[in-house]
Amino acid sequence: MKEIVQRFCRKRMSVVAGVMLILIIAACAFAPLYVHVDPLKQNLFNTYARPSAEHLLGTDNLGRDILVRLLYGGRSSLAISFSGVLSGTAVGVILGVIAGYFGGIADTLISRLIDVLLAFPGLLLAIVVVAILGSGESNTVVAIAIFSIPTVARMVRGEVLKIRSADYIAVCKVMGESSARVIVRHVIPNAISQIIVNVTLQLGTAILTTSALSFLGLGVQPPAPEWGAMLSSARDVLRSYPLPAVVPGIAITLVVVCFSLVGDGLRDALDPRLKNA
Amino acid sequence: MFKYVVKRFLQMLVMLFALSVIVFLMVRLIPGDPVTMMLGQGAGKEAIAAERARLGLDYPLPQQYVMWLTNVFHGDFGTSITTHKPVLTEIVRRYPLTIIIAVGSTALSAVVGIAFGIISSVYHGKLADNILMFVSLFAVSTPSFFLAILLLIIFSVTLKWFPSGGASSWVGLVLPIITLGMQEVGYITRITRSAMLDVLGEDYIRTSRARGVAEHVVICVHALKNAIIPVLTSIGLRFGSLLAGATLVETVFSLAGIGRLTVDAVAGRDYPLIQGCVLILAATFVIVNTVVDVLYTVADPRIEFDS
Amino acid sequence: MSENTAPVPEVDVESTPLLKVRGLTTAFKSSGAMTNIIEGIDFNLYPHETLAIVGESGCGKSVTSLSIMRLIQSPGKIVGGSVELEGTDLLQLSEEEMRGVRGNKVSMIFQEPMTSLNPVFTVGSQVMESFQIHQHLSKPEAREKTIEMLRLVGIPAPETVFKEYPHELSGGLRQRVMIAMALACRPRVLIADEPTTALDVTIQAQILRLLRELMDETGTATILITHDLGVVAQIATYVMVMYAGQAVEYGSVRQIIEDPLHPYTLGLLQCLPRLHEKTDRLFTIPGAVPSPDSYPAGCRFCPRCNRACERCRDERPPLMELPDGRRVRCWLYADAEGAVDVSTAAPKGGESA
Repeated sequence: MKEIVQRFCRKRMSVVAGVMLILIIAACAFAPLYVHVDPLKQNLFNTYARPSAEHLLGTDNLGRDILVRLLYGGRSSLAISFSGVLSGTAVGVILGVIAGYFGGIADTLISRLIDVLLAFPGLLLAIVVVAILGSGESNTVVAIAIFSIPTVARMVRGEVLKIRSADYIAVCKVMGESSARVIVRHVIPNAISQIIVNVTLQLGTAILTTSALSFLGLGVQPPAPEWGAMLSSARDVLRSYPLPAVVPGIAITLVVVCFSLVGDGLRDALDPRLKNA
Repeated sequence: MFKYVVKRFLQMLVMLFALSVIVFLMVRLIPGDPVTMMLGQGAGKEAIAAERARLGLDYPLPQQYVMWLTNVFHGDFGTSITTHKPVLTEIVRRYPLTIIIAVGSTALSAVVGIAFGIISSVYHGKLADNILMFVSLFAVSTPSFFLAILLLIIFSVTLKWFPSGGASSWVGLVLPIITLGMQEVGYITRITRSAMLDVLGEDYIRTSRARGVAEHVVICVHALKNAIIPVLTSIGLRFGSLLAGATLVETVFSLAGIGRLTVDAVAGRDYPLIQGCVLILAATFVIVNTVVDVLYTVADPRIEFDS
Repeated sequence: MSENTAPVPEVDVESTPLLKVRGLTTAFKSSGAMTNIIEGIDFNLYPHETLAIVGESGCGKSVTSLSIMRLIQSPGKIVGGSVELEGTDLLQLSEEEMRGVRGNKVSMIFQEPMTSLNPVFTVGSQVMESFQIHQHLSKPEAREKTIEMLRLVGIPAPETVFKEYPHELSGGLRQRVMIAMALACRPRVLIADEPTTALDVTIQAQILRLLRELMDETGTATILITHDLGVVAQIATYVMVMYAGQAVEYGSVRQIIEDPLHPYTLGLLQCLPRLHEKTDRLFTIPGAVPSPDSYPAGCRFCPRCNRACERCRDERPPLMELPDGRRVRCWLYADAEGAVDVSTAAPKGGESA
């Protein structure tokens, strides 16, 4: 463990990104505790206010505080992405383990399912899910979850197949350990580092997908603050005042860059063999 | 090799079949009466009855599927609820624009990305490499709709070089293609760089140098010809995602492509149109991937077909 | 370094050396500091001769050959010495001029015929390139010469092989292609880096015979890099034994094989399996070649040497030249009669055959 931390710390960029990410997540998550302004509160007498002491990033077309909306928006984007990716990963791990460990019909069915999910290019899969379930916050979570299932499932399946052929698993079976026990005790711990790296990298993609859906009007609905939705509503006033569009855009980019750097750093730290991959 | 190609195309057909089943079931998965859903709440009794008959909703599900698929094969994807025009007509009208944008940005990003990747690999670990890696990190991380807005602010609003929307002439396509291409540039730079780094470490590159081959020939001919096949393959495999990604760019630049059509259909609960768009986009993706995959194996002399 | 001294007069030299290497030193940058990988390599190479450079892997044989070709890649760098080919110091040439030398006046055959040919070009186009680059021949002319060359190196049906890709050929054929490629422009010096190591024993013999025939025919001088003293005995005229980046013994093939001086050379010879001797097991030198950043203070071979003494541990032995022209870097011979310290002087040519 100490070694892993040391290896991670050797990548300076990843450490900086990690610290920044923690700060951003904390700032967004605890926003209700220290921000006492309602992100939905309009003030039509104070629209398009330039940044000032009262409104650090100014106000938008309805006079709402941009910084407050940014923090609450981040809360929403991050919450959706985290719950989506984590639940998708859970399902993906289970499917992958079943396919890899039991093989046979289960493997065929699950592998085909993964293939079909992967046949919907990029954003289209999320759009299809929303088309069936309708828009809204919870359905966006489902869309993100389904979006992240195939990669995890495929990776875990491969990992399980690799581990299953290892000698020590055969030994465990000979010694009479039950399948479930073997999976919990050996397969999962062996695959965990790859799962963690994958979750980190997918969180970046999830932020992009969440905000894209909201931007298209298919995700979180206005007036609720969400980074993509904020960008979308700021689009109408782009000509006169671009700041409300630029601020959430930078936020999304920054968070995605950080997730990507942290993911790379984690990969190198957890699995030195995968370097340069 | 022929055997492999046939096998790959059979796999593609299976995939397309699976896709059609999902798209067919999509509407049936929606809670509530599909016909009321499809025709909207305001539809008249006669219209509902006619649609029920057309879809054969009183028959068992498998039979309904066969009927639906037969219609699709005859080019009958149903009628759009919002525009009351045949779905196929809408798609045929809107698809070409999206394809132009996707092809344009693929071409642009291939040229720029491969060049960046080569430079990055040649200057491995040096300043140029670090800068390009940083650029590509931001290129893949910036949401395309944000990049589109930035380009709009800079080039349309401030500099007034390009129109802010519409595709009345090719000028209107410049910014959309650049936007969509940027993200691809990031991916292609990374892929090319790592493929080139692998190749540059090979013995045969040393052999080329030992024969007195000029360094630019070593890199741009001897090394690149080895690295380019996997790079072109990844570019091809990403084409489908680009079609879907075009949705966002079309939205920002107010372009009437199939991506925007799909999103409007979802927002307007225009189910026949959703089905048509999704089926066409996913099918394009699967077909392009198969073709790219087959071309890859044909193009690489190293892959043998003994089995 | 006295690279400009004329051939030492007391030895009768038939001709001037083709290749004169003096004090060649190459370093690699590791964690900020430059570490010498090879150090002060001196030798002469005369027309028609074969100089074998032997030693275990990691002794700097390949770095020596790549340094002569100036093919050392970053983080490596040639930091000193000279490599004179017919009076021109290759290390002073511009990169452009050097390119005109590579594959033309000096060419190289590599160890791995499997990976040393470019997999996506046909065999013919790769050999042809040499003619096009260095002799500026047109395509049809180059093609004709290539087929001629492929035939010369004993490839059956050269017209067919011309159009084939490397993966369609056997290892032996590929090495023949490599040789054809290297000899295409009739180089003055051929560097062969373990040319037969990756091949079957029967193919090895064929390739060695081919190399020797071609050398006799074209007058090309050869530097043969190998760890196989059996091969050395077959085709070398002179031998330089390298250990840990330095030359530890230099002499004619007869001197080295029949009367090795340096304990390391002796050890290498004892490693050879001999057909007619019954031994229970093969002798091996204990230990391994130290890495450049952990060289011992005294003699670099000292930790593995069975004749090491106090002096070997503390002091670096100089390269001594003995009256019979051979050189050895070992304290055992430092006080021998007539021994001269030549650590910084040019080597004598020895009696050319």
